[in-house]
Amino acid sequence: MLPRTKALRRLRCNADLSVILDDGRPFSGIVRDVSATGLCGFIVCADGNFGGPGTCMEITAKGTTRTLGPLAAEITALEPSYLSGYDLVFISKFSALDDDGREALELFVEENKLEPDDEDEMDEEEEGSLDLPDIKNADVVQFTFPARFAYVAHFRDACEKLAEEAGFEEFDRHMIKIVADEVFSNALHHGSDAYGCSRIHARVLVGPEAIALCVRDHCGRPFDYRKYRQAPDESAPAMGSGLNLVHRIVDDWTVKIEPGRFTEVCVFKRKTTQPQTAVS
Amino acid sequence: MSANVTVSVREIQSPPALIFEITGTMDSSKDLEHIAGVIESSDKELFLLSMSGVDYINSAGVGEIISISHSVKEAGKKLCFAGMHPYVRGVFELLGGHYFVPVYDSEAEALAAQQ
Repeated sequence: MLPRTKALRRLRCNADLSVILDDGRPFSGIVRDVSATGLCGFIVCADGNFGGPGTCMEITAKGTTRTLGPLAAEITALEPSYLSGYDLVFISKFSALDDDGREALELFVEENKLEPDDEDEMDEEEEGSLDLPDIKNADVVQFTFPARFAYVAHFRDACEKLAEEAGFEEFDRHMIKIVADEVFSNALHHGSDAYGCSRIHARVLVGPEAIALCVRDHCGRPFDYRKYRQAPDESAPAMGSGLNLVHRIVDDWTVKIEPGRFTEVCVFKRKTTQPQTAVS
Repeated sequence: MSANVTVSVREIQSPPALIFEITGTMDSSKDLEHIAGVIESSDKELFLLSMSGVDYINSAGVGEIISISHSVKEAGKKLCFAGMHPYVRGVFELLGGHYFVPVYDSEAEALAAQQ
């Protein structure tokens, strides 16, 4: 069993944010995540005129009792905001941080970080979006991974192992492994470090006749998943679409999106009762 | 190239072709970058990807294959596959890859089909 991982590259924070661009224009917003190299912030900028990658700025973050900055920083990525009340989300890197600055940063993060429980962590009482009799009273195994692609293989191997222990046949196990890979990868595409999200939570429910995987990122960026429910054909192949592959493999799947909070994909697969060929 | 994938290349004369023997786990859209480059610079008309050593593929891997097949087709050349593990072939076909690239059970069958 893989251990729950608490070591994070980024820490989610809650603090007021002030930004002054290199052309002197001021903006305000909130700090979302802070790491040793930069921070992610949401700002109000109705006309979208906030520069772009490479734009220099001064950042000041006001926490509960401590103020960080002003720190020189540079925008590395900029996107429309997925949090209501804000227009843009940016990721920045600090231009130069000396020892004093690093110490101030650590103190600031320590004082203003959000604990994991504040982060919409999956809990036992919330059984996800699937409510199926086959999975009632299932064993529940939870994982927390850093939101990085290096952990996809860990998750898919763990799911395959759980399926094996539950008595799934080889074909089913392979399909569960693929589904785990695709759902986790999808969570990373929509909620990775690049968007200021540091962790992926997963819950695997293992019943005697079925297995369910629920994978949640903590960005809650809306996306249109309905198109993935269509089967590929000659005129419209899936072109490597992970969720389309998931749709072809599992018995049911759901997506739950809480904008700005989390996106959770749950998939459900029963044991197959007949020997399978690989192609349906 | 991904550390999870290794590729060896050999040339045959009848029919004139390059055969890529791929082994490992294809779980990234970068696994076959090397192959794409070799195909692009080759004067051969036929390319065969021998997949018997691939034990796993996901949608990113299939997407990369389809992308390569587009490049090959645009260059007026041919690409085909042989020896896919049944599970790998299953994923490939679930995603519609067989609409783009013919898949044969064996290398001999693939080459015979091109004669």
